[in-house]
Amino acid sequence: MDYLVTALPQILGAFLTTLELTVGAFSLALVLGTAAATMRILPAPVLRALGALYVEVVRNVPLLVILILLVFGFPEAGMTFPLFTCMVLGMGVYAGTYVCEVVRSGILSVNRGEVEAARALGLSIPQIMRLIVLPIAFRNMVQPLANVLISTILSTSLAGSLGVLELTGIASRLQDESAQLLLTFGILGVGYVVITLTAGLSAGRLQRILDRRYSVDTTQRTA
Amino acid sequence: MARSEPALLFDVQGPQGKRRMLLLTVAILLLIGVGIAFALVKLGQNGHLAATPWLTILLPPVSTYLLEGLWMSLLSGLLAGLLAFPLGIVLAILRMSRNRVVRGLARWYIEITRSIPVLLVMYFVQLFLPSIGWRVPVFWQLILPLALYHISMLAEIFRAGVESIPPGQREAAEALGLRPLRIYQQVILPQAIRVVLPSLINQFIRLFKDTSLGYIVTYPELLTRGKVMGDYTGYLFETFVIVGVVYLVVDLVLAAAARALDRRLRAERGGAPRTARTRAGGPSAAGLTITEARS
Repeated sequence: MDYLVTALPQILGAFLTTLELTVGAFSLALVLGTAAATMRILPAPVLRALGALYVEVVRNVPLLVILILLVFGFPEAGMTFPLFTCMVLGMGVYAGTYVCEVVRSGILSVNRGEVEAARALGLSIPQIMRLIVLPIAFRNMVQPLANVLISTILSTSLAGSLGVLELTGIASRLQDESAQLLLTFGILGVGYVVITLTAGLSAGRLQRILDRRYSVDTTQRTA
Repeated sequence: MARSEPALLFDVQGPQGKRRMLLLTVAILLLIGVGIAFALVKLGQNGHLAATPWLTILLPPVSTYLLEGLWMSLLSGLLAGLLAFPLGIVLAILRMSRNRVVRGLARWYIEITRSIPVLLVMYFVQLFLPSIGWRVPVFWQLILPLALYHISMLAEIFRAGVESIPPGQREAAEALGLRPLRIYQQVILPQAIRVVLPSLINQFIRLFKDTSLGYIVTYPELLTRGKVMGDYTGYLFETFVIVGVVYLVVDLVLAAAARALDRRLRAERGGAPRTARTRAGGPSAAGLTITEARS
């Protein structure tokens, strides 16, 4: 009991740190990924190649290598960031490649007929994107984006090995009370399950809401 | 596919559109150029553009040490993969069992391993197991958590593969009087594994990248050795850039292999004469096309 009284506040703090890392990294990933996906569908060969280069290079290097480069390598090159910023930066840039692929295939999954119909009606490309393509594409992106979010949550554990006291890093801090280690690991595991489960369930709910709204739209359109 | 992409949203660009795209390209290139220039100035100021640090890492004593690390990375990835492969098949079969309890347990295992980070499992092996008197060698501290996690990933891949085999295959095998295990072993799995071969290679790429977690348990694979050499030579930046490039090259080669294999499998399916496929129902060809068309 005494152990729990001292450990729980620390674990709770670690839980919050994991959430902060996740929110920071995933937001950055959304921005970078969407920008890269846009570049990859524009009719400009150079931009397409740049987008593809970003995805191919970053995705094929282990995240831990990227993080270590940011933490140990960059300061040597005269670019020092706070530890937390390094983590968010590395994880965001890494997850951004996955977001890019999700967004791109979401957009490409839109039925050509819809786009052609919109063009025949004389809509401009920004209008087509805003009114036709993105609403449809977004529904196809919810589940894959949730998967990216969940792997981002799990990847924040790597920060623990580099000195951030989040849900995984706290394990080594609490290891002194070895008698209670099993309990500690149990709580930490449950912590992760809670976060990932919440993410997965909310994505499911969002999907249902979007589907419902979309089916309303179609009836209005045909009426 | 790749060639039809632009046609989805854009016609062939007119003069105005071309001008706009050119402007956008130049703007973004300028932005990136400024970033690169800034980085180069910073690197130059700190002496990272000189040849010595790079050559120190790239020349024999250090580079052979690092290459041995790459070998150990590949080896640990292969071993974890070899361990996870058969167990993944077993787990996939359990996951599709007709017994509800068995199916439920398999599902739980998969769901839980997929929502807990490998690193936490690693710390569990590293910190908890010794406390109850079980010292796990460093090598297994890396392999065990990786295998436990990738078993689940592989099981899901195999399940997708098995589900892509048309039910007629199983029904035909049952009609022939084969027992369930024989059906899997001789009819379903050979086809399913073929379907998922490219996914298996991609999963191995993930596994290979995950072996970099050896850094955490100080198993002397590529990344750990990179850190050792970086600290020793004092060229941390150069070392980690080179380590990253090595991972990149290996992964790109593997990914290219996956793509080539995928193309070849598709070509085999598409190349088979249509009549033969529908009439004789050549097991591999017929089964595979259906899934590919739907996915």
